[in-house]
Amino acid sequence: MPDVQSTPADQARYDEILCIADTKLVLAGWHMITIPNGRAIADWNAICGMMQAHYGHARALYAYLARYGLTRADAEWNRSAMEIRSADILDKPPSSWTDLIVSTHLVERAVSTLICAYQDDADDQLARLAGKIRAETEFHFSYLKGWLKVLASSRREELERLATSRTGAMLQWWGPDGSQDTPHALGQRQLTRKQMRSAFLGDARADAVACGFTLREESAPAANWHQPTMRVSREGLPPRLFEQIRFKNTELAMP
Amino acid sequence: MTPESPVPELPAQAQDVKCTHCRSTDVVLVSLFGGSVSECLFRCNACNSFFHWVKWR
Repeated sequence: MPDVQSTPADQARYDEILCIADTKLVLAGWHMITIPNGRAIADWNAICGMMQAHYGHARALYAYLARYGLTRADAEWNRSAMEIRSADILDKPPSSWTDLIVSTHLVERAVSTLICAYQDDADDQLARLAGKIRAETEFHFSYLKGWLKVLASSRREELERLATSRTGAMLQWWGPDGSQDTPHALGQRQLTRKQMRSAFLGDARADAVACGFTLREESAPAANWHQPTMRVSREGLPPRLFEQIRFKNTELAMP
Repeated sequence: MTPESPVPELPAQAQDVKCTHCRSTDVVLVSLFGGSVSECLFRCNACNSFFHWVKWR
């Protein structure tokens, strides 16, 4: 957190919202790279739309964090790969179209679950932002579930294998059972991380059933989970991923 | 062989969309993402017009 006067509660909120924003930033980067893999014009259009939404949400959340001292320059340009707090699952690039759809769906489910915990927040700005993100994400789910149904009927084995392994990776984001939950302990959100993890898994399973496949839980070890970044890996983003997702032309973008 | 892209399904918020030209409710969703991210693209079966529908009211 930038050097401003803050309380432990401020710090906890800052950390968690930055994890959401950075996960959206990297997911948008995934979409930017994978646009040419769209199967039809409708897919290009959808991926472009989702990418635009994620960049917009990330930037809106960065702007919200300005109250805690985060500047646009730091949020978008000055941070190193070590300082990006995206979910570990996004470190490993999608291996196929099926993997892209499965992974995007799980990341959207997890991020949506966490941001929705702030929908009734006392801070009206964050509450309204969370509501808008949830509303837009419903359109993303509609697109992704359409593809999950197609894949369940045509590539079920691959779909279930990838869904199992990627669900394990996504579950790491919530941390191991019994880990600290500072934002909840300090009254920053009502739901506990354990409740949200359970809600995420329940929604992901329900989507799988609705789309015609089975989601098996395969918990990956999360012993090294670090609460402020919600990451297991301490090595930061892989260099190639960072090079692809980072914004490069500061002089062109800064007013 | 790659399977074909799915036909988009209407999210709950978009169940009562009317054509902006003739007000018909006989419309089909063409794309969940229109000219901007805040819009969906529809086609009207009654007057064959395409129109954008704003997601957030």
